[in-house]
Amino acid sequence: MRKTIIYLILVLLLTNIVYANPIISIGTKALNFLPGAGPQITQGIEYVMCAYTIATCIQGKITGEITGKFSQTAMNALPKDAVKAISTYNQVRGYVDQGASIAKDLQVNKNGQIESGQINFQNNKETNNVGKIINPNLKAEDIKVKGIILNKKEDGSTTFTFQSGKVGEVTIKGREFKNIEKGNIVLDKNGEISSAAFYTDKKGGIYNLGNIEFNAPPSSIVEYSPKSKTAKEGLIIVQISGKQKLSTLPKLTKGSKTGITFSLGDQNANLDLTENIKLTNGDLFFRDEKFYTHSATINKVRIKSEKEILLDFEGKTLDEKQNYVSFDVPNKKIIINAPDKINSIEFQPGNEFIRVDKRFNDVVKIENTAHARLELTNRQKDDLIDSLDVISYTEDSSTSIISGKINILKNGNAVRSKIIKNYGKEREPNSAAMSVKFLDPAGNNIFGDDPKSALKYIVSSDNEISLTEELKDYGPSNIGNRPPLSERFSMNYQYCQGCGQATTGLNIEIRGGDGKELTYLSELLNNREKRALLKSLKYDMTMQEKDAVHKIVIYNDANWRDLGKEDDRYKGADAFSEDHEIHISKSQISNRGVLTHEAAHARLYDLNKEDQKDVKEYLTELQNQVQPYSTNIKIEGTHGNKRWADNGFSGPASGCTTAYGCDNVLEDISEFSRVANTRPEVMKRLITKESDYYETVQEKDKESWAKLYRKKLSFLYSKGFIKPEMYKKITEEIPVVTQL
Amino acid sequence: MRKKGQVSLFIILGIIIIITTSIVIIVKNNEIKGIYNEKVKGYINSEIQLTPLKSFVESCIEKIGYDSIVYVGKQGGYYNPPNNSIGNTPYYFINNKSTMPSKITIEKEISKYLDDQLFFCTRNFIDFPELSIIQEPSITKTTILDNKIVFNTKYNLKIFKGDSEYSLNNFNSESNIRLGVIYNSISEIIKDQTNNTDSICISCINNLINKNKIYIQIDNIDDQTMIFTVIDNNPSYEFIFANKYE
Repeated sequence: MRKTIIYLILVLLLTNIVYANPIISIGTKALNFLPGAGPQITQGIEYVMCAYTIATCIQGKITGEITGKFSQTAMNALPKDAVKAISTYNQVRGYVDQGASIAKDLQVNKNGQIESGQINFQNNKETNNVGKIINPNLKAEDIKVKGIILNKKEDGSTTFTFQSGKVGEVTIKGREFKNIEKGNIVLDKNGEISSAAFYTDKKGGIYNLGNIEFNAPPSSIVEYSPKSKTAKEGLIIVQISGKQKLSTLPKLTKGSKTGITFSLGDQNANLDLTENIKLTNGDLFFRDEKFYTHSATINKVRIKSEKEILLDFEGKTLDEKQNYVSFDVPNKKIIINAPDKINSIEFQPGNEFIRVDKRFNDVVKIENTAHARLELTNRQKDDLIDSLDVISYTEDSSTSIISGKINILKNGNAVRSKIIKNYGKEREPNSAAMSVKFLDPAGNNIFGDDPKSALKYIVSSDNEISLTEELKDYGPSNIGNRPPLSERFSMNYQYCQGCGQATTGLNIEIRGGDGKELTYLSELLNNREKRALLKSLKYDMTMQEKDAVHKIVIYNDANWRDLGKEDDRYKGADAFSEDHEIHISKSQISNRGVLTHEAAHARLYDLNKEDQKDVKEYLTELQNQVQPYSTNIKIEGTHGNKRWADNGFSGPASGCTTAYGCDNVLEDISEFSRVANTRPEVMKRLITKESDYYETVQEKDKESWAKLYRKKLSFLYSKGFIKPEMYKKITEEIPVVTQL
Repeated sequence: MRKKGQVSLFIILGIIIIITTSIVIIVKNNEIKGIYNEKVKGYINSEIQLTPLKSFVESCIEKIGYDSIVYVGKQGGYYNPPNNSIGNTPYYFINNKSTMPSKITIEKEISKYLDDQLFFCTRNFIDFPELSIIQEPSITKTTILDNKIVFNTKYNLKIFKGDSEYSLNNFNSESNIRLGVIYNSISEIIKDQTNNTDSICISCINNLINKNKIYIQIDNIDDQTMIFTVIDNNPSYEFIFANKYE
């Protein structure tokens, strides 16, 4: 019972307070008296209203509209308790006189505070000072409004509402809010911004929320809700729509304890943060004057990490204890520092740091990097393939580099590689060429015997990997926009100075339909053809022949046929010796020895600078001892398909290794090289009079023919056309096949 | 007096015995020496006769031995590749397990090839028309060492020249191919593979290459199958095998 009484008293008191506060209600045209006013105040005001003709009255009773403000004289006549309220009425009347309207009656208390109500300032052309409406302790000019709806609630908060089609502006203690298409800004009872949510218009603007000054581009959504449980990192969220640019980076003003998140609102949205830096996916948050992310695509580099990553857009090397990504766009370099762990960095087509070509489904990713720093540099300007340095901070550092189907894994004290399989129906990914080194912080190699060595892992643009210690990296001989081709065909390779294993400087050009230049071997050659090409280049030529070939151009068969209709050089393979080039069609690649033949032409050209005359003359002299080229030897057929006229045979005879070889001394040299280097067993028979080759030859002639072949072979070996091991095989090792 | 006479008789007899024994010994020694010398002379004579033949056979062993090493090298150490092969290239790693042959297996394969093919080099000894030779099949024992391969061939030959009969049985040759080094390198690769079944340790392979001065070329047939070619340049040699990954 006692408690009930206490509760009742409290309720009455509260009710008294609530209903006692507003004494007048201000409508657009009416000033009404509320029960809280009491008869004394009510009558006092009515008297003044009538006396000072701001209301239409008859005999002191208000009968018509209330117009105008209370004059100072009228104010002086008001009951004391009504003065403040009526002052507020006056102020409101002033707004109304400028075009505002009272959308919901304003409840005003004795202290002149508007406790609730709504004023529509949308039709006001002038700015209105409403500071006192918000809080009587504020100055009127502390808060200025124009073109908005002001809604005051009983809890003391005030909402400014911007509506589409109405140009609204609000200035809150010097902070301007304009260029707002629609939305709300909410002030607490003290006149501080407690939340905001608005769309910027086509101009966007610079705003200050939570003591952060930031640019919200046109058509952005700005949200500021510090008390919301769903607020992301940074209590301000700017959601970008369309292609936008930040006019200025955010600035922290004094006392800021919050951050700002820039988020892309849709797939087509992107944001230029600076002249060089563009966000195309994900979120960035700005805190303590720096940008951070967990997931974002910046300049076509997709970053994902469970741990927060600091971003730098000036290419600086930062504290190595901090996870960061630093973009050095002018120098086309990116640093990825993961003392902790960064989950994934993916380089999309069109990024500046490594050449990833969408046409070929190039894929480059770096995953699960921990306790290491990666530095990736685009070296196209130096005519080199792109370079990736993996700098390990600890022995157990790890990273997984994916380029096409190649996966290079560094985990602890080993570098491993595997082929990524099972793409199912998806198009197979292709690798982007790069040179990878694993270093310690001092720049020394952490694998291999020699820390100072230049050991590097070369990933080709054809899903292949090799090792080299060459000082120079690979790159195209021609500077151009096309990505480099791999000069390596083996999975693993050891540099051997002077041993002829490397074909440094060899440029391979691929031409597809209509002669259009392609970029990757895979576009034209299948694996078998690639291996045939490899085999020819590595095993079927002398060192000197390899050195003589600087470029191989491989054509699509159809294109080759078309070229051949107009230019005889494009029938069969051809060597443009003076350019040190071989031009060949795709189908000829698998024809073993063709490249050897053409390389011999190139080698002869090089000898021209030395003693080609000696080669041609001597060989012609030898051949003329039996049967000179062409003049006495009957050969028929077209280019590459020459046969002996008397029997239609194309094989060795008359001192030559093939009918084609007896066409002229140049072809003789090339055919000798081809047969000796790829068919030593055939050559063996030709130099051995007892062999079955000479079964049908007259006894008296056997020796002279065999001697001729031996002399020509020996001479061409001395001029670098026959491989030493093949020469030895021909002259010493292969058993002669005879009847047992 | 009689006693003195007996003593003198014994002394004389003793001297006679000594002299006789000495004479016998000297004569016997000379006989033995004569026989020995005859035998040695005979032996030296046969050696002189057989040296070219022995050299010939050993050069054949060397030549065919080299061929056998090259041949089995191209087939992963096998004369006839096993069922677990791709083409003629045997798998050394498949189903996440090592199937690499032991060194002894490869030695036996080399021996098999050599013994099969030796005949095509000796050609029934037609280069020795003055000799009549009866031969038994050769049995070779191949030993793979690090820097050479040793062939010990038991090849029983009975050689007749005129009335003389000789025999040759054991022949030796070597090849300087570093198959042992290559085999050991491959062993390390396969051992690593069985511990890490889905990837190839490239840094480990680089160490092997540098340490042993070899080359390794890996070519993928498809996403699961890699052909390894181990190449030596000094002297020139290739050894090929395959790995299949799950």
